[in-house]
Amino acid sequence: MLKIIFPTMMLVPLTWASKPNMIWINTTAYSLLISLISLTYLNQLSDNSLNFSLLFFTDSLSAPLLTLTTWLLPLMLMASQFHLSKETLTRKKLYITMLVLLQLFLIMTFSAMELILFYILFEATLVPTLVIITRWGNQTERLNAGLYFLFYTLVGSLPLLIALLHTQNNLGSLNFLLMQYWIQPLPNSWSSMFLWLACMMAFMVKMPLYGLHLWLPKAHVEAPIAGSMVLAAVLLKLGGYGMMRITTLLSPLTSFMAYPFMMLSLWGMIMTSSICLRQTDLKSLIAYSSVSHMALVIVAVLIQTPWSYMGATALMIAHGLTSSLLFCLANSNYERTHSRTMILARGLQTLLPLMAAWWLLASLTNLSLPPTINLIGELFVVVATFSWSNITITLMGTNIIITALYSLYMLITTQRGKCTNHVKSIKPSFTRENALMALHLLPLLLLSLNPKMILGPIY
Amino acid sequence: MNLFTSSIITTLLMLTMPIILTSASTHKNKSYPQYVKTTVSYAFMISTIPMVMFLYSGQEVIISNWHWMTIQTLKLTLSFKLDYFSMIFMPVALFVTWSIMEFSIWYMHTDLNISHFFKYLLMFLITMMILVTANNLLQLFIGWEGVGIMSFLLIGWWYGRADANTAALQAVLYNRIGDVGFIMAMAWFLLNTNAWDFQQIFAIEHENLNIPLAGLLLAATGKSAQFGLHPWLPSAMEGPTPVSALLHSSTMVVAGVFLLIRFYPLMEHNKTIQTATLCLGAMTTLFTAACALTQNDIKKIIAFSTSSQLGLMIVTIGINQPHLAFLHICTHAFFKAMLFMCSGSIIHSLNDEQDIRKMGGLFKALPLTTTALIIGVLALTGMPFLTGFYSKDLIIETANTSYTNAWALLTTLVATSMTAAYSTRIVFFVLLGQPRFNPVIIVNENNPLLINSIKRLLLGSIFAGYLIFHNITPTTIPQTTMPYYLKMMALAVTMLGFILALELNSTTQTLKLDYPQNPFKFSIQLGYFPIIIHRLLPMMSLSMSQKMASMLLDTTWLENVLPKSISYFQMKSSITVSNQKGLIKLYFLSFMITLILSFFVLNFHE
Repeated sequence: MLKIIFPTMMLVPLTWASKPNMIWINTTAYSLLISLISLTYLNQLSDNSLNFSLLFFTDSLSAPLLTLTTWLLPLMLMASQFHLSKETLTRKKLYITMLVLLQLFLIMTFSAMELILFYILFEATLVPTLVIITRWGNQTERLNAGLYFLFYTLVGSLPLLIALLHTQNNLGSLNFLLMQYWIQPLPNSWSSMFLWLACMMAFMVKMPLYGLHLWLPKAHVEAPIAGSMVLAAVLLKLGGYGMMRITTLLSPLTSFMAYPFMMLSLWGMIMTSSICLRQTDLKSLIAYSSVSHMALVIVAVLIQTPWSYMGATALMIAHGLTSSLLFCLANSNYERTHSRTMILARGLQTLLPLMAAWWLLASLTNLSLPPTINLIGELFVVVATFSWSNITITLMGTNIIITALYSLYMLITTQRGKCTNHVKSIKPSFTRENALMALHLLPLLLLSLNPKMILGPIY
Repeated sequence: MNLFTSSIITTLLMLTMPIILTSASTHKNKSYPQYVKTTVSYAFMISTIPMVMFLYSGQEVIISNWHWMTIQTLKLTLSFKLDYFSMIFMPVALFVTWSIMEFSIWYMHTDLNISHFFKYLLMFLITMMILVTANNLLQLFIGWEGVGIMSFLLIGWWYGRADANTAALQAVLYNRIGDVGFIMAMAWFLLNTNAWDFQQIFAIEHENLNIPLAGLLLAATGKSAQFGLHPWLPSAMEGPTPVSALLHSSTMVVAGVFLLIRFYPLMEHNKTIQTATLCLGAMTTLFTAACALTQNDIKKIIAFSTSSQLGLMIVTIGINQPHLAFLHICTHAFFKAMLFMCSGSIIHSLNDEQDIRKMGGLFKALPLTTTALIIGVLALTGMPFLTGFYSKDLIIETANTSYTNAWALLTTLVATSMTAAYSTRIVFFVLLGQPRFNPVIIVNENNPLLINSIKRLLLGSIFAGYLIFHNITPTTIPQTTMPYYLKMMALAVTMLGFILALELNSTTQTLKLDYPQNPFKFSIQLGYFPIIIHRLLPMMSLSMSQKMASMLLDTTWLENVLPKSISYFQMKSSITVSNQKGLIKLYFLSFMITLILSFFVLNFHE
């Protein structure tokens, strides 16, 4: 694990010591190298886990998320270049440092072996994200967004700390690997229910569960591009990852405690995707679509069958890449039209045909066209939910229809139609941007050749 | 049998070549469309080899190539099923597509992105090939969705037009409703049979198959534009004419019927679903035929006739004759593609005029197109010994002699008669009478690309039915003898339709109707479907999402219940609890007290 953590730490001095014209290229190249190292973790046998030390391990659940994290840093750096071009050198360096710090925390969170360590790092990721959102966001509403982001997640996760202390007291250890052997079934009492709630709420807010999702659209809309990317791609997945890890602690209780949350997710999935149909703001639309996709993950994790776990893990990776790609595309529109309003960018296909191709592919992956991994994830979740209860197919089906609708609505509004006058003098798309989109799509397409890698430990 | 599998693989690989090699410098020149067309024609020729071999030996083959993944006990491989249906359908589809591509070189020659267009057409064909040859549900689903998305791209080809975009979105939306059924069927089969391979699904005995079969029927309803989910098909006429030709003949719309044909081993024992299928098909065929009667757009008439024929195919499946339905798919492909190409020729010649009221007298100006159009229309109505006769007549005979409900039968017969009526209407308005178009237009059909492609399909429309009919093995034994009046029924209703339409048309020349009749309004408004479904439902759901989901729940309740109320209560309580109220005068006054007190204390301390 140190062979990722130390190079990531060394990214900071690299940033500060680089020459002004080299900061982007140095950091991007270096972080890309780090992500190449992390690729090796993907190749592991299913029920084996790589124990690196007493503190860190990865198994086939965390390895894909870890790789996603490291893969995303170079992409974030590539995406932010234009946005930061007017800032001073020190601020650029500070920004990169924040992104690096965030990656460092995320890597350690995904590979932490102790629950308490996991908790501390989980909270630590809030700090760089908050700085990125509130310092480099575009509008004054960013402060409010930062407030929402911080308080929702903090209030959700403080009970988890207490629950963890209690469990440590009872079991004597919070080690992930030991826990699955030591764990006793929870007694059926009120206090165990509160324990369940305390453990799950932190992650459900992070996912976010419908009803507790208000921070997400705000944070997404206000964050700079790198912030949106990392939020959608990795930070939301922390919730899913945490839920899958901690359900081993809560073994018999989940089966009936899950009902209200499952209902809320199934309902919220349709609500949020129908909100997408009425959005005029591109980033807000993508944010709401994230909420709707994550609701699927919540449902899948709460059902707790092998198929649903596989679906949840696959969907997390697939959604991570897709939503990040969508945010990049939204940003490339924003840099040209200086507005997030979709209708202002209409007819862009005529001017930027290659960008339109990326848009098309992104929308198609978002509506989970077979044989992408998005479909694998969604299909598995639908199958698991269908076996849980046949009636849910109506809700799932409605969601599938609406997802297709808003994805194509987004595509048609931004790309199709007649070209307007104000966009006629826009910049052409840069190689940097095209490379950025390609680097998002490449893993998506390659993973659909061999989805086994991201199906998680139960596969 | 080596030649069998290898020639199939060659066919499939050949089709992908123009797409894979698209970035090579040799494919960037102007001859790319020509190249694609040639590839398809070669693929057709190669694909006839295994077809002939199959017809000779009757041996089904499954090619299992590449192991994708195994999830617990479910093994997913890339496998092709080469049975009767796929072996016959592939050459038919390739033949029709070959002609359509040749036609579109002529039709789209002014388009700047013509290479791009051909790439889309080819991908459309490839996805259909995937669908037809798939041996498991997932692979079928890949083709199924691929066809849907490619139709989205092709219908929305002229993306500057709002109508084209709406039509494209409609196509995806209606298909997506069908996909839910497909996904449900997939989920059911996975749970109950633990298999997605056709052989394994069919091998297991089942008690109650209503759920998955209803899902598949829903899927077919969406894809094949059956009643309820049909409006996308006429709207899809916004796309270029070659797209309509391809969409309506050998790809996309027949996919739904094909799916049901694939699943006939399960459907033949389930009477509930069969009856539902029968009624759905009968309703579709009548409704869309009725809509076709009053349309004025030539492409829309042909589109509705496709929908009506699809309804007939579904009826055939409902009476448990999947092979006849398949026969009708194949024969229908020839003349329907030709009809669209004829209409494309007419539209192009008349300077993009689609309204049949502004045509007329074209039989002198466009002799070949006229010939083809008349033969196509006659084949559509089931004129004896043309292609359509072999399937349509057989279907209606079989329906007449089977134990079916009389309502569905009657509906189908009325629809058959209507087919003749609207066909007559096309001929009457477009070809006969006085020219009603602008005299400045120079009509010219003398382009080998146009003539050859139409001629080829013309031959197909005359002979293909005979050839395919003689190579079909019926599943259930057809009635060999029947009363005279049943035998003549199909022809009689068709003749009735012809005569009625002819009489009505000549009446309209002399008589003038006072006001639109109610049935006329029903027909020309497409059964009030677009008004009700396309206005009411979107308005309801969109205003629901705006008012309830977004405004009421998100920005009001959730915002107020959690963050706003918490901050409000915090503020209130901190104001109440805090003893620092900002009363500066009072505070200074209290300093006064201390000062005065200290003054007294310090000075009078004795």
